[in-house]
Amino acid sequence: MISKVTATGFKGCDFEQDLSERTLFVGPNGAGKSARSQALQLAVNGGVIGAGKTNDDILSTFGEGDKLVVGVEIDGKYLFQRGFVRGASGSVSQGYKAGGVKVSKDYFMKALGESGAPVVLNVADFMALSDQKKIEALFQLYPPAGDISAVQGKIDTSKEKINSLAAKVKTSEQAAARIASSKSQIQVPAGTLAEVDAQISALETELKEAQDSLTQIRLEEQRAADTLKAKEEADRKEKERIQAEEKAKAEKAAAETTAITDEAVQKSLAERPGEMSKKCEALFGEKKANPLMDQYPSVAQAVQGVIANNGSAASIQAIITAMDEAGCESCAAKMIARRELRKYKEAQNG
Amino acid sequence: MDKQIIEDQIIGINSRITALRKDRDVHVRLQGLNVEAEKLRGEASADAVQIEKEKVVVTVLLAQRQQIVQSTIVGLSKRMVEILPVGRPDISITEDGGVYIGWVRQDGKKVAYAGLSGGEKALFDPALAYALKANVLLQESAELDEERLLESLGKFNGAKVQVVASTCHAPEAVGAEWKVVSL
Repeated sequence: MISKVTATGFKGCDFEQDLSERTLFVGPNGAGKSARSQALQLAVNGGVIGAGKTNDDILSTFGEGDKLVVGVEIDGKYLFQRGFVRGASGSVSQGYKAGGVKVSKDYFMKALGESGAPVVLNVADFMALSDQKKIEALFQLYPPAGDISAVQGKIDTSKEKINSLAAKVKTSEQAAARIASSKSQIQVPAGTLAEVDAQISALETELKEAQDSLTQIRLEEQRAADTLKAKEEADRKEKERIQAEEKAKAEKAAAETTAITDEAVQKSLAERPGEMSKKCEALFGEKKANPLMDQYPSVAQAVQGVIANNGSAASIQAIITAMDEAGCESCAAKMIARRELRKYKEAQNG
Repeated sequence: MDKQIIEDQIIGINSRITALRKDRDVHVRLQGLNVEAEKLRGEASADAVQIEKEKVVVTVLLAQRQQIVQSTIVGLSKRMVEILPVGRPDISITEDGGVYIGWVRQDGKKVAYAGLSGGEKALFDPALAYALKANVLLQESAELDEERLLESLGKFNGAKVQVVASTCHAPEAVGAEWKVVSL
């Protein structure tokens, strides 16, 4: 038990106050009630809540000069004192005395504890501790009925998991919201995807049919063009063939003309009396007494006229051709024309 | 059918197919977005379910922790009640690992320590200090009325602890165990 509290230069007071197990200070404000309580706290704990933590703070708060001393007497026997003194340098140092003898801080604390271990606890100090420190202090005084650390560890792990999941949920929801925002900015086409697919499919079918029709038309056009071309080719070949035949005929006729004599003509006329005469008469006029030139003067005149008028073999040939077309295959006039043509060619060739 | 008509028809069909394919692309993109959004919602939903499950685990663990610390709370509270003249202490380990210290008044109203009045603190502090195993209690009783002071001084009588109290006005009747020092 603390049997006495003492102070020198503490808040302007010097006192040696006896204490019992139950002490009640009564007095008006400023009488020194709090000073005694604070001196007791300072002597036992080395500090008072709210007075600062350094020696300088404490001397400044409670001292009025350069020195203050507080002490407690335990069980009427052991006096423990702390002194706060400002030195020449201005700094404040704390000194310790036990039983009036200067001692070290360690000795002071040890001896104070052994003397009866007064515990003066300021609740404000306790309340200022962190939760963890408070729990540690409480568990030290009142041990829990199990491994609180293990359970707390599980709680912390679960809470971290919850926080992590909550963050994940938030992220997912934000992403979903962004998607919804993106969707709202898209102009949605008419119909569903299936309906659009069906429309595309129908149109592709329609397109194929149209393309097939077009292909068919183009094929028909190509066939028609091919047919026309083939016909033109056939016509061209036929024309060439006819021209070749006519040329061959002309050449043959020319060759035959070479062999014709007046006697041959006479003979031919004699073999077919009357037949050719009729034809010649129809073509060139009435028959004359001279069987050859005289009989068909118009032919001879025509040939001679051609020659006299500087006509050409081609002109004579034209006459022959005209006679061929008229059906005069071996009439005398034709023979005369051929003979005249031959003569003309011979004359031309020298 | 006329060739030109068919060619125009093909051009028209191609144009419509091109437009429809663009529409289709938009539908496909929307469909993709819907799928992605649905996936995200599904994940969020699954995570929310998981959170609820984990909350149940935490509730069980908290109950377990409360059970473990109950001896601490009960021990502390019982010791405070030895000194506290009125009401009862309200102490718990909070869910976030904090320590709640308060007082349940006589009328049942709960008050956190920080909300206590000066007179209430004059009663509560020595009780808490006592529970924290202080053996010298200091009580500033100036803010206590005489009734509360006497009640409080009477409570100290049962405790094995030294008490130094101070007040402005001496009560009329103080127990014989108290040494009254007038200053």
